[in-house]
Amino acid sequence: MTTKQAWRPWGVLAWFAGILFVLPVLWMVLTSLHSESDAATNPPSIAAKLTFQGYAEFFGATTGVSPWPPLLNSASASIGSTVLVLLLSVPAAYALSIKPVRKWSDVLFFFLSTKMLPVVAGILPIYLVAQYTGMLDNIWFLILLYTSMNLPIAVWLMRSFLAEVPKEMLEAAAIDGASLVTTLRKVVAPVAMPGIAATSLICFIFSWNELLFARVLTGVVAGTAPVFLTSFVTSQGLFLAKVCAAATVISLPVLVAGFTAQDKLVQGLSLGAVK
Amino acid sequence: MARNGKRVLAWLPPMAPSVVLLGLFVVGPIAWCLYAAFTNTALTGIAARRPQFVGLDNFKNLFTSADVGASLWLTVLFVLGSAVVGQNGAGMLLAVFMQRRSRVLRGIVGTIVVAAWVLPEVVAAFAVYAFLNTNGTLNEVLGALGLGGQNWLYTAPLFAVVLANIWRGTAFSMLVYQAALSEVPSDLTEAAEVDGAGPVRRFWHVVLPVIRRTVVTNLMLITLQTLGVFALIFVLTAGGPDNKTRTLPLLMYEQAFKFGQIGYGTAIAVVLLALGAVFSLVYIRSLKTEV
Repeated sequence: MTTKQAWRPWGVLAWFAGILFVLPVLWMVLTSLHSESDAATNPPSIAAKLTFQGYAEFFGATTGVSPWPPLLNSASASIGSTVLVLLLSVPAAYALSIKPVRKWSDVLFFFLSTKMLPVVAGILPIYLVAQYTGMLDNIWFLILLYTSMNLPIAVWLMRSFLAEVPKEMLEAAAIDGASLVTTLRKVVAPVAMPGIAATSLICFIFSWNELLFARVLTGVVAGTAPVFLTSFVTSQGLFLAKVCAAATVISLPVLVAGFTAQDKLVQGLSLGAVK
Repeated sequence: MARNGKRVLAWLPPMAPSVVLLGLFVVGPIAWCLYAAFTNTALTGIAARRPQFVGLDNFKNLFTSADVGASLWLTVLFVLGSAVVGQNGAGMLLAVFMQRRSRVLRGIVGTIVVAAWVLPEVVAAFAVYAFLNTNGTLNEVLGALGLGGQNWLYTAPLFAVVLANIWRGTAFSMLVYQAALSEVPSDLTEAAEVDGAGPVRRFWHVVLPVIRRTVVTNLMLITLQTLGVFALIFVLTAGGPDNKTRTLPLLMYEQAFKFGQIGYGTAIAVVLLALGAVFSLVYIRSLKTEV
């Protein structure tokens, strides 16, 4: 695999950086598996007995608040918005990459430019709209919001993945008189599928992690997992094992999604951001 | 021309829903900000129902307020420290370190860095908090080494949030640079090596000029990303202590939701947008002027 090993000390530094980066995560997972008394020692002892007590207490809601509603809310918001993003961005990206018209770059630029605006700036009007329409603390509002927040990046990534579909194959399909649906299913999908999957995972990660809007727009009913965790840290901060268990549970879906999407992440971001 | 018009029509169905949604939730709100910044809109009370046009009052208050000045400065420091120097530098270094390394190293280190990137900001903030607080890991390690610890979140709060943002955000730059470095023609670097250039000089004089555009693009993306960072700081320090980490997004949140001053809050949002525009202009200019 390695054609020529580069300068050796740099490899050592890479390992060192990797260890530095993973320490906080290791700390969190290890502490989550300790009993509260062991968790109080810092850094966590590697020899301490491992236990799932922290997790049991977190899910058993010994604190009086069940983590299930926020977890389910997060799941609906992330999965719901990701599905919507796909439904909207695939046709848009297809139009942009396969059938470009003059000035097409303007439209693409519009998509990209919205990504350049700090979304934070939009929170006040969005809050007022939600308040006015009675959509506060409503998961559907969050789904729509996340969909629009993820659309630019999705269209951007998707366009680069769809651009990999060979033009000749499309032309051949057109000559054979294939309908749009057939072309999409038989020609486009097989080539673009991995990219589409990666894009969905990225959108899922962004929606799952979002805190600011969720915090402002939701309350008891539609509160998401990160919102729950914020208050959990405040109220249960002294019980490190329990808080670490909560943090680990809430991180798990995005970690899995991140690992799965990693290869395509590089490709997507490089095609999108570099070129 | 007519042909093009027809194609535009064919374009509408796939594009329209996306454009409408973006207009409603992204462009619309920001356009509204530009308007509301000139009103006294409030969260509750009379000004909530009938906001008055107040001209430049919000901006007058804003520029005479020591709070906003301090906040603006903190935001610039935060962006320079954590994005421009931190994430960008660390991402570049990691990409260089990992170049032409074994598959094992690239896989493991890459995965670790990406893991920090996908973690929810709340979790990242909590982990950094656990590392830096009075009884945190850093102090325990310093204590074991016979050095005195301190409550880093109080003595060096800005450092703490910068560190947190570097840890969390480096992956993006790393991935971008890994991709860029793999496209640098190897005969260029090999030629430089034959001429006796060491690894540092090879990087500086050969590789960097080739990937210059990528560097600027990356800087622009991470700057705009970092300008909007809210959750990380909010959970880690909540803008404190003594407002030493209250960047513009936190100030805006505070003014709007704690004090109900929507008009004033949106004026702060406009300042934030302007700051982003200034950074972008600097980056774009740097692409045009050099070489």
